[in-house]
Formats: sequence, structure tokens, C-alpha cells
Amino acid sequence: MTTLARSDTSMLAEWWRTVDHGIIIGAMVLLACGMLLSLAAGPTAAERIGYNNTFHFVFRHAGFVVGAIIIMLASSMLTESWARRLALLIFIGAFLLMAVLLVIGHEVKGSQRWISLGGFSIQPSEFVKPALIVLASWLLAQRQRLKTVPWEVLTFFLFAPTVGLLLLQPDVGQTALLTAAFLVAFFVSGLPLIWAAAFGVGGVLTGLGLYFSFEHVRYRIQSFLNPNEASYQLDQAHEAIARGGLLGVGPGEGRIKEDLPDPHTDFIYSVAGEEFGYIACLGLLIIFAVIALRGVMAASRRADPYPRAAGTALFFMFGLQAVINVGVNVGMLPTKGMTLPFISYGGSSMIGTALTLGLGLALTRKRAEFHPGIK
Amino acid sequence: MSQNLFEAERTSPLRARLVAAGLCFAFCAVGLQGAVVALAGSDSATTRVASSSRDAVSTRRAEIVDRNGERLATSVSVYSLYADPSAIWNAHDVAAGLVSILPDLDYDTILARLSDEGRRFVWLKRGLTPNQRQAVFDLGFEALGFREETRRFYPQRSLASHILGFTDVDGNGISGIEYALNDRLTSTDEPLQLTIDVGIQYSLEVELSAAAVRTNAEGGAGVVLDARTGEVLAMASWPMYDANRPQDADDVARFNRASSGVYELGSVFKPFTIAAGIDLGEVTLRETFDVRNPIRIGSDAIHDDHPLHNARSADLTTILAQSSNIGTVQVAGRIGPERQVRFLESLGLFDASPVELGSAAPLLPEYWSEVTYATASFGHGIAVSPMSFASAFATFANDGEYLAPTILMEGDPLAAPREPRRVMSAPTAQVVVEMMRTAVTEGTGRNADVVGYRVAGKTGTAEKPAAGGYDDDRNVTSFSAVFPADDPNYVVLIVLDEPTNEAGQAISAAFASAPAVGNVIERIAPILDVMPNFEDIRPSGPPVRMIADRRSL
Repeated sequence: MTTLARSDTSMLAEWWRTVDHGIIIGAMVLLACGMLLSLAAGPTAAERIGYNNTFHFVFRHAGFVVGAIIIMLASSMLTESWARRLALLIFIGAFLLMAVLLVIGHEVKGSQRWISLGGFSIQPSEFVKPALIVLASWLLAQRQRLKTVPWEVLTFFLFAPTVGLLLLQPDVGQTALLTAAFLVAFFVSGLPLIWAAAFGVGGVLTGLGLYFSFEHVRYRIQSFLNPNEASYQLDQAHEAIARGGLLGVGPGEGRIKEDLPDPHTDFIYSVAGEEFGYIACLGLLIIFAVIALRGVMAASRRADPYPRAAGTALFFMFGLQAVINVGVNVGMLPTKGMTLPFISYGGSSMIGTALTLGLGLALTRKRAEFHPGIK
Repeated sequence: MSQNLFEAERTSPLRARLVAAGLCFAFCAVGLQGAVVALAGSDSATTRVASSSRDAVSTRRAEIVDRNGERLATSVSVYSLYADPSAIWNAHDVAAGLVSILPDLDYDTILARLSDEGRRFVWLKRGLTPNQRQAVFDLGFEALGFREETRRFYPQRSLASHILGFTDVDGNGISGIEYALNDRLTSTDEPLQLTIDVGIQYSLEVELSAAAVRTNAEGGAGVVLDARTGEVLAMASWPMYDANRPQDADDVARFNRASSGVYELGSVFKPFTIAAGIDLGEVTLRETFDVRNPIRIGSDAIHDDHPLHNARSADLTTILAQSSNIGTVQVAGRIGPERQVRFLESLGLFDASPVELGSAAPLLPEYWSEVTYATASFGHGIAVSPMSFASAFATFANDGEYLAPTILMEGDPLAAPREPRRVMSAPTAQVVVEMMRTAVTEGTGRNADVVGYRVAGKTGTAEKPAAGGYDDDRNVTSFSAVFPADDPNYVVLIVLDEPTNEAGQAISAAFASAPAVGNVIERIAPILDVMPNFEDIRPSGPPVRMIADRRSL
């Protein structure tokens, strides 16, 4: 229960001593790369959409980066219990917004994901993800204290309506991501394997159900499985990355950004691959992997099941989102409409990611605690 | 229970590490796939722009070579210049820079295009050479870009241009072989070898041009065939054009008269009628005909232009050598309409020539009457392409067997199998060749003779059809020859459209086409390894031109 006595016990010094520096530095590097790439893709996208200001997206991106840094650092200073309380607040807010969204949200590209708020479009699902993970992990951890309450079922009651709202938008990509992270939280919390099997079967059945009930899911998956048919975006991304080769065609020389509708968001990886080449992309991927794996490993060292499960799931979700986005860009996965964390343009995505990493950092800070596993 | 829970908790760090391992695996998978995609290579890695729809890859066409591998058509890389007007700071600077390098650009036109900021892409000029491209590149304007294209180039310029045809700016064949075999030329890089011989083609074109200019003709056509194989050794049309600049020529020059034009060729048809008569046994060589009086068919009368020397008893050789219409119609009468038509049809004269670059269908009488049968026997009322006629005529030089003409070398996958079709017996063919040899030594074809090369041939002077009949002021003259007469191997045909003398009067084949054919043979016989034979030159015979006469000029 005691922390080592250090000369400086102010809150900032305390935080800096305990927080994972590698993850913070990695996140900063990612944000800087995102800023650089927004200079590549932003002006083209602004021109395509018809904004007068060529640097519309660049300036906004810069604003989001500043906001993301503040939110990430601030939330990483939270204690475990404050992290949970903040998560509850965000969850309630985002959940209500998502519910309202079904009624008043404006449709972007076939989905109702956005809500307009004073010139900004907010995508509450980006915020609900980390909040739900933290809450679910905390609820599952309560099994050790009060064994009479069926915590698993309670958690599931939290999870099911959230996923339901996501599917109603419909946002299948986010649903898949959230479900995977939720399962990881369940798994790390000591979920019996029979539950895992049940979830697996349930997941497959849900997937099939989705495939047959949503037109655009079916279309995307079919266009992925039959590359000859309408997979224009994937072909373009593939061609761009191939054109970039190892070293890229050079900054500003890329062309995919002129040919795709979302060069600054979903296909930013292809823009990077074309202009800066595979080696740069690999570097980017390594930073993602280092952040995610470092976070998961830090979480795995926590003895308390709540921060362990929550931290693991949060960093897993961060890593998986990057993997899915890159997987789409290199043609391994069907197009999902998912951003590349901290790189793609988008305020909600950026702030949501900042929250994910900030909460993850807060929950994996070094603490002295009893470790049953360590002898 | 408590113990179980504790056990479960003990395994959790392991579970978190399993999650880390899974994530690590996923990162490796996308990283590897990224490498596969990045290193797969791009279809168009060399060009700056490659992906969007405006950059349809222009087709690379196979070369066309002659029978000796001489290059007739090839593809070279050129660069097309475009600009992105929205990326231009000062359109005046860019326009001025471009005009200084490409003087044929119009400053105001270019300026207008560059100033159109609503557009992201405008073409400025196609077909820049590598040097021009570098010069434009060195201007350093970011908004300018190049697209590599292939352009067709014809190193022999106007030579064989009617055979080769040309392509449009997008590289699609739109005429000649380029059009007819477009799929073949775009589907493989293997050069397409034609049966054309550049030397023979050149000889034919030079002599055809000389004759056409000398006689002030409207047009002309020439064909040289290898009668034993059906191969087209040369084919020419006058006036000519430069295949590299087809847009500078008019339709008259681009028109291939040899295969796409049809003409009533006149008396060059007479050998067919005579051959049919002999082959069917209806006339004999010893037989004589009285050709003094015109033949009346209904209200029409068939005359001879000039009375024959021994018109009371002219044999077949005389009828052919002196080109008697009256005599030929009498032979046709013996054959009968049905067999006469069938004979012409068996020579391929009723169909478009099967030559691979395409050919015009003949114009046949709308209905056959007694008069049309009679006039068809001496080549009137039936208009065929020179190509069609030459391959029919080649039957005489191929021992009576018809061969479809071809411009593709034997063994080419697109070439039809060479299956000869017997039309007349070999002796008949030889006899008619001998008669045509007499026509050259003693008859209307004297101007075609070349000492030593035993030319056999037939003149044809046809009045051009005009409203209500024929126009005796305008002729189509032809001379069709086989050589060497003692072992015929090659066919040379030259057709001139409206040749005139210096006074502007229509002239006959004997003076227009026959000398041109002689000149062609004189040039090409050495190329074809035909050995000259001077033994049968009779000192007292009619004067023939000596090769030495011309060489000494």
C-alpha cells in the first residue's frame, strides 16, 4: 500500500514517474505523422468537397491534435476509480446521444453516425467504446467481491443495447471492433472458456445475421470476395501502395488522394504508402504495435482484475483498429469505414482514441500491489 | 469455489499475454501483406499519373515487316503534355515557356486552356519527342505532366502506305492492314510479316507514279503477284500519301485503288474468254473467224476499234494479239452464257478479293442479258478491283490453278491455307500465255516488252461508264502481264484512270499502261532472280527497248 517515498510527491511528478513514457512518446509520434499526412491528403480532400480554404482539413486536424494531446494526458492522470466514474459519465452521455442520433442524426454515406453540434459533427460511438470497456471490466472484476450477483449478465446488459444502437446506425465495423474488445475484457477477466465458446458461436451467428439483413454489408463483403466487381476503392488503394513501392513516389507526388472520396480518413494509409513508401508505412505500423503491445503487457502485469482487463482491452482495441484499417488498405479485409487511430482526419475518432489511450495509461500506471502470481 | 476463482485469476496474466500474442500476429500479418502489395510492382510505376480513368493505357502495337524483315511500321514512345490549370500560378509564364519550346502551339489558345481554373486536366499537345519532353520538364512548372504513349511510325514513309494504312491518335488501326489486322497487332508483340518486298514495292510505286504523272492520270493502281504462291509482292495506289501524316492527305490520296477501287478493265478480260473456249473444246487454235463485220445483238452493235490485218480469217492468237471484240464475242457465243459466267466466277471475279487487308466487292450487271454476256467477254459491264483481277490473271501463270491472293507469309496463324483450285487445264493456260506473248511481240502490247525477260500480257482500254453509256473521252487503261513467258511465275498489273496525252486526249493502254508494266518488270526481274534470255531476239524483229538504252541515260 505504500509508494516509495520520493522527494517530489507533487501530482505531476508522481504521474510522470508512474506513467508509461514509451506509449506517450509513441502516441506523440503518431500524431505528428498524422499532421504530416494531413498536409498530403487534406488539401486535396478540401478541394474535392469544395471548401474555399485549401487548408480547411489541415487546420482542423491541428486543432484536433492539440485536443487529443490534452485529453490523453489529462485522462492518463486519473486514478482507477476516477477513470471508472468518468467512463460512466461518458457512457451515459454517449449512449443517450446515440439513441437521439437515430432520430435526428444526419446521414453520411448510408449511415447515421453523426450528430451536428455547433459546426462540429460528433460521432458518439467513438466515445462509447472506451467507456463501455472500462465499465464492463470494472463490473466483471466485482465478481471477486460479491459473488452472489451475476456480474457477467449485468455486463452483458450493458453491452447488448450499445451494440444494438451501433447496429441500428448501422455501423458494422465499430460493432465488430467493440465486440472484439469486449470479448478480450471478458477473457482477461477470467471468463470460463465455455463462455468464450458461447460468444464465439454467437458472434458467428450475428455475423451471418448481419450479412443477410444489411444491404451495404453484403455489398461490401461481396465486392471484397469478388475483386473483379465493384471494388474501385480497394483497387485504387492497392495500386497506390504498389506504386509507392519501398520508398514512395515522394511527398505531394501521390495521386490516390485525387481518386478516392476519403483520402484523409479511411485511406490515409494508402496515401502514406504511395507518397512515403512501404518502409515508412512499416515504421508507422511498428509504432502502433509497440503502443498496443506495450500497453497490453503493462496491463497484464496488474494484479487487480479491473485495471488488467480494462487496460488489456483498451490497448487491444487501439491496436486492432489500426490492424483493421491497414488490413482494408492492403486488401486483406473488406472496406469497413474505420479510421486509422491518431493518423486519420476526424475529431471524434481522434478524441475517442485519446480517451482510449489516456484511460489505458491511467489504468496501467505503475503501482505497488500484491501480486498473487509473483513469488 | 474460492479456490477455483483464485485459479482462474492466476491464469489471467497469461490470458492478457495471449491477447498480446494474437495482436502481434495480426500486426505481422498486415505488415507482411503490406510488403507483398508494395513490392508487387505497379503496372505503371514509371509514369507520374497512372490510376485514374483518364489514363487508359494506350496500346502497344506489333511491328509490321516485309518478307525480308525490313521494317514497315513500328511503334515509338512519345509523350503527351497535359496541365492541371488549378495548380498554375501564372498562366502567362507557362504559356510563354511552352510556346518557346513548341513553336507550333498557339499562345492564345494555350493561355485560354491554362486559365480555365475550373478544370483539373487539359491536354496541351500530343506526341512530344523525348527531347521536347525534357525541355518542357526543365521549365519546372509543377502543373505540367506527361503521359507516355506509343505512336505509330512508318520508316518507309509513303512506301506501301496504302497497304499498311494508319492508326488514329489513340493507336487504333483505322485503315489498311492496321485496321484489318488490328486485333492481331495489339494482341502480341510478334512482328507481323507481310509478303511485300520493299524493293519490288518501290519499283512498282516509282513506275506507277511516273506513268500517272506522264499521262496526267486521275489515279492509278498496280499489283505484283507471285503466281505460284498467291503472295502479293507489291501493291500500289496513286496518288500516294505519307503514312506518318495521313491527316495531310485527302481521301483521294488515301484511297487504295488496288484493292478498294473497282474498274471496268476492258480487253484484259479477253484471255479469260479465249481460255474458256479452248478449255471447253469449243474453239481450236487452227480455227479462224471472220471478224470483218460488227455483231448485232438486238439494237446494239459490237465493233472493233481498228480493223484487223487479216479480218476475214483471224485465228485466236490474232484475235487476242490485235484485241478483237468481234472475235472474242464469237468465242463467247460458242461457250454459252451459263458456262461463261461460271468460268469468270471460278476465277474469283464475282466476289471481293480474299486478300487480308480487305477489298471492294465487284460491280456486276443487275441482270444478265444477251448484251451483257457479250460485253463481259471483253471486260465491259463488270467492274472488279485490280487485286481481284490480278489474282484471276495469275491463274495463267500457275498452270491453270487459281490461288487466293494473300499478303501474309505462309505459316502465319491468320493466313488461310493455300489451296489451289483448278480452273483450266495446264496446256490451256500455257497456250494462252503464248498468245499473250505474241500480243507483246507483235500486237497491242509491244510497249511492255523488255528484252530478255519474255513478257506476255494483254492490254485493256475501257471507256469509262458515263450517264447513258460510255464516255470515249475518258479511258481506264490497264496492262496485265505474266513473265517470263516460257516459265511464267509473276504477274504485274498496272491500271491508269483517265490517262491523256499532252493534248489532253484520252490514250490507250498500249501507250499508257503497257510501257509502265515493262519498266516495272525491267526493275523487278533482277530482284526476283529471273535470268534474262537473249537467244530469241530476232535482229529483224520489231524494235524492242534495250536495258542498256536506259542505263546509259
